[in-house]
Amino acid sequence: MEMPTFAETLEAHKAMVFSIAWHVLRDRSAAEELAQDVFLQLHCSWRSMKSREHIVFWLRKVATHRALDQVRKRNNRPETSLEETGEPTVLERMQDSLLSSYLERMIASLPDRQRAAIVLRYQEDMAPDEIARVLDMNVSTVKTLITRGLDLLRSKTKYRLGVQSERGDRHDGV
Amino acid sequence: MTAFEDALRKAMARREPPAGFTARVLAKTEDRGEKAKNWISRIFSWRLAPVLAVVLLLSAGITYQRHERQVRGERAKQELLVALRIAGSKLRDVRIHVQQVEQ
Repeated sequence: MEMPTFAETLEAHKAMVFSIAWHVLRDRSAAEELAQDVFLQLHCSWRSMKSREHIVFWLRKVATHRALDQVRKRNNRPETSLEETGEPTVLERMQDSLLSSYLERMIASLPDRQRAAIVLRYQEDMAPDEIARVLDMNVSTVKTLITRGLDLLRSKTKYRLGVQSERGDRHDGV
Repeated sequence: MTAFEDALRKAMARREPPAGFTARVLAKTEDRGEKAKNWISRIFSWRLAPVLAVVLLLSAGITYQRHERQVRGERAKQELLVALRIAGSKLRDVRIHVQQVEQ
């Protein structure tokens, strides 16, 4: 398959890179800055790109690692810890967008590596072995991170959002 | 997929970056390209020509000097070998003469 141009790649993957940064950092301007830096780095490394798949893998990997580095540098464990996160109101039970917003806040309260694994799993719909390659980890570590992350999220939401915990289904497609 | 995971997927849907993102990135890449070009053209500008000429002359001079030293060394070596050969033949003559006198 023919290689796309840099401009085409930017247009096709900007939402992916920005969203990874946004979900890990939870800061719009920092996410935009990071996404810009990732694309500038891609521009510099453009000649070493071998295929469309390679570009997507590279973008996901660089965006995730840069976002994690930034979180560690800032030592910005999210503004909202799991315990501090407010409980949703009755209105939230009824409105999907509010539920999403609540879940996003909950995800932001996860530890860094769990958060990155959950972002790649549910935003990018990646399989654990793909996530393992992006995060430079074992597949079993990734599965553990996702399972623990989901358990944490469930423990906070199961009674409050009317979403059953479905603990019976422990594998969660991981 | 569970309902919980479904809710997670919805919550984590991709979102578009702020308006003008593409233009800003492309402008930055062009800016970088321009800077790189300027840097290269600055290096090869005429202002640097005298410096390059001096460097060239110096390196040529050094190379010539090395070559001259090598040629001189070779010549001295040849002369020494000839001298040794002459001295050797003279010694042989003297030894033959001494043997004749002794007999």
